[in-house]
Amino acid sequence: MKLKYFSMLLLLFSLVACDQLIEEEIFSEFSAENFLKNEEELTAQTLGLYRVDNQVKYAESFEKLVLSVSNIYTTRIVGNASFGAYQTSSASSEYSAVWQESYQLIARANTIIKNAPNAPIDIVKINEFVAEAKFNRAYHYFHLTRLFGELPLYSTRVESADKEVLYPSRSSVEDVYKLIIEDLIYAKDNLPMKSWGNDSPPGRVKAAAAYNLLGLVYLTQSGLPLQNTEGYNNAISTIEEMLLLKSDLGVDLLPNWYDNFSRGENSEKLYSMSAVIGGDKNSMGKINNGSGSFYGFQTSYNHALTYEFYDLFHEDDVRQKDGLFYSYKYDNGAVVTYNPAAEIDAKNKTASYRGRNGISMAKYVDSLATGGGSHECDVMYMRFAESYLILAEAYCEINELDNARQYLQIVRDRAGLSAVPVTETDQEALRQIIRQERWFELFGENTEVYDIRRWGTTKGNFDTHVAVDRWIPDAVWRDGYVLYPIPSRELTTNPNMTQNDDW
Amino acid sequence: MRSRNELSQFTFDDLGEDALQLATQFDGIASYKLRHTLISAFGSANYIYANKYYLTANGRVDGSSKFGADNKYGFFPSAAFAWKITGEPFMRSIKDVVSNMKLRTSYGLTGSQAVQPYATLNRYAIGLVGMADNGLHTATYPLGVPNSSLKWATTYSTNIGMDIGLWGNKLVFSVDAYIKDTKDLLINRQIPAATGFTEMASNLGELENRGLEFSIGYNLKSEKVRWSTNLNLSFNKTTVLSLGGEEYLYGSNIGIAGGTINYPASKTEIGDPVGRFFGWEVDGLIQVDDFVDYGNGDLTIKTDANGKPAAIPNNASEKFPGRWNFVDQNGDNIINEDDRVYIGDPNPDFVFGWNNTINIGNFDITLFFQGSYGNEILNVNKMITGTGFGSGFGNYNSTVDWFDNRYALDTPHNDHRYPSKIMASSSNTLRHTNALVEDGSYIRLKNVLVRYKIPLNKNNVFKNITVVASASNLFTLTGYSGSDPEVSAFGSSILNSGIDYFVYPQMRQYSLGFNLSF
Repeated sequence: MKLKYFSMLLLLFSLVACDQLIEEEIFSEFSAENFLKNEEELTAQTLGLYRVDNQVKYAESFEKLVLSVSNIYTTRIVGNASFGAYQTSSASSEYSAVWQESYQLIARANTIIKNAPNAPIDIVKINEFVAEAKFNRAYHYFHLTRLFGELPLYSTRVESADKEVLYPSRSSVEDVYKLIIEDLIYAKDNLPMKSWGNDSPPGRVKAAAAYNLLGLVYLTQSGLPLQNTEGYNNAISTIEEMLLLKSDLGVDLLPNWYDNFSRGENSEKLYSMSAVIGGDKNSMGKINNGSGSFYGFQTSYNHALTYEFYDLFHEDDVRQKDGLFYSYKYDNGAVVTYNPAAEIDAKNKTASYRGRNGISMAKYVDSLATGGGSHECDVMYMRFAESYLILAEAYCEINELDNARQYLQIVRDRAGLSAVPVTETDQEALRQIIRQERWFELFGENTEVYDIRRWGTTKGNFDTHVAVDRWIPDAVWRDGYVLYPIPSRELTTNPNMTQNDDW
Repeated sequence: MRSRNELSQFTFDDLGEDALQLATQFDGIASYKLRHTLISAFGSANYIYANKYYLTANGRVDGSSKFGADNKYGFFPSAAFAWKITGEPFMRSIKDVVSNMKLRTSYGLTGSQAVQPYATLNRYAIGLVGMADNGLHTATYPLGVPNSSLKWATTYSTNIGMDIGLWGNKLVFSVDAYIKDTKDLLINRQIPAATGFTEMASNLGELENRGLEFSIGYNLKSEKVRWSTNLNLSFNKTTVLSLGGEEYLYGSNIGIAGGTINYPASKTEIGDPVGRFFGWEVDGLIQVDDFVDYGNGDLTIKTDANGKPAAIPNNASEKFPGRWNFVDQNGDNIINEDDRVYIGDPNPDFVFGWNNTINIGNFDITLFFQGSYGNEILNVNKMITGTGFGSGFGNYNSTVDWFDNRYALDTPHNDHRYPSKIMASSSNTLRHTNALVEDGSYIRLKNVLVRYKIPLNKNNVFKNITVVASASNLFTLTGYSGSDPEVSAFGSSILNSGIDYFVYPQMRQYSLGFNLSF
């Protein structure tokens, strides 16, 4: 054997000393190791609960999901009518926007609920932070279950790739409500009553918001689909407890109804998506006022109220006068007035915007907004007037009509309306008046789809929907339309997810 | 342009200039710093016996900061053996014909750390939120699901090949066959949004690439002309062996920028090729005759004796002549996710390259062609430019091709490439169909380089003047209707290849240069 040449190069692998070199170090973010060690850091983490990543899409998606199916709205846009007609698909970005943002906020809440108790600060403060997170978790789960039904229910943050954790199946609606109610009871008992203190920015929820939401949860639980009628009494005791604490909680109705829609905190507003003048992409509530935006009533609109709804108001009702534009001034000075003649064209489907003819909403109108520019109104989530309406409705349902009338009248008084005549109103008649009153007061405030679903009037709204009739007359009702479809992305990413019936 | 901003009102000071986003008086000013480190040790041994047998062994250890505490290091050895057959005595008699013959074989491991840093850590992002005091405040929030068990992806490659040179290597051939098995693939897997997040860096699954590569070259040398040409053909087949316990994996949603179509474009199943297009099938267009009495306004679609409709629209708002006639795969008369099928394959049968260098007198010319055969492209652009897409989205441009050929009541046809104007009610109901799938085969003159050396006499101040002209992407032969068949809207993601969605085409570049030497 002839060995011509041989070469070899060998390095000894002495890497043990190098471990430090490949430790990861974070520079521009916080890590679990160096964060949440004092009140300021917890406050920053908590403000993350109010930060919706894409707030324009979020607000507009809620608008489409909540308003479109109610028969008091019409639209000039066939895409909005398709929501009213349930001719959308599980891939519609509106469903996934609401689903994703809500679950993202829930994950943030779960992170705080887990981490806050470890912060070396006063236990009362810790409980306040946990209460704020629990309120927000309940708030988003409540939206989600009413929109989509049974849900993946996370009460802890996802921190591993385990299949059981990543691919949840749907929990029953009962279980979702159970968590919501537990969270809200904790929140009402532990949130600050009046203020988060001078060091904290205003706009964070306080105990009154938890009371109102808990009352609404109980009321909703009494209706469809659960029909757990104990909820009426629970709603009553919750809201009456709140009324006893009214001055401690610092809540009251504003004397002037329309003042609710100005920016910033007031004694009636319980929770809103705050707007910031000149705020850029990271602020909440900068609503694009471009053509087609719901909130951009000055130039055009996605949704308008039907004339029939306008006509239902009593002539003295300030909510008709201040809340709806029979006539308004356009950007260029031209006056736009509701035109009954156009309604005939619309009905005959000869107008190019078949559903356009309606009455604009005057809530959220922003004198600072310019056509196509930014919009700077707070988006209303909840206000105290609803607490009285919850009481009125719950008392009516348990057939204590005098109590129902008494609480209803508090809201009517401010609107300039006289008392509902006692003699003409049996339970059913009063029920209809209370339901109508709820929409007179709260139209456009995040309530319509939830009301018709719990009242069982979803199909009735579909059958009498002007915009559906004009745009998509072929649409056929299916019983599964009392829920929206699970977003298709959830079905494709989660093998344990199921679609709702008829979608 | 210089500008100067003074940042103040930092909510927290501890991150310093690495996180300017903690200053609350400005929005939109941010800084980001990241670090990842790799340490490696490498060893190599070569042994050659009798100029005939070649043995090589390599080994390396890499440590990457990107992986979990217990998985930072990977060991990647490899070994190769070659036998120079022309070195054997029995080949000597034919060495004028067979000038080189070599058999090669190798086996080895390689590692990949193609993942963003910090994927193993629990992090909080910094943002701003507007509150009711009309001010911006720092808000922090968790940034994804940490995966502390993240580790190296490893590819196990086995290769066997042969090189043959004839007539003094005037004509050269080589052939290679390989199997590459990649385990613990690094994938940003899509996770349910119910977790609060949408993606998670993971080691997921196993891929196998099997391939054959052929190359043939010819070198012509004469007094005036030298020409060297080389053509290579690569056949590769990628098969998914495992998806980490999943049975299938969807690609990303096509809704890239504005969310035009909110469905995944592809689906990958175990045992199948990677990234095939997955969507809906259409069969021509809805015709006037499919309605009971379109002329008199009866827009009911005819049904046959078995109740089967003559045509199936996407949904109620698309029930018009000239709209796509969908194939209802499961026969339930609703078009939804359950009707999706494979509608195309982005994987080519083969790709090729052809390189030429020519030298004539003072000219040097290089020509490089490349191409691909048998792959398909999902041309999502056509959803907008090939449907008259409008209404509710503002009005978009359409191609002249669509406009001239589109279905209209006075020019009806049944070609699904040219539907009538889709009054898109919204993005909600847009679906990607086989009407958007096109053949993506092409051949392209990728590079041309011409050098001309100007003849100079010896007394010139310059020793040498060379003019260099080059061009890239000079011409392309393809049947693809989009702007560039070499397209990928999702970068190099293997789950999402061959998707065109308003991607900038590659530039055609010309350059001219001079080399002067004194």
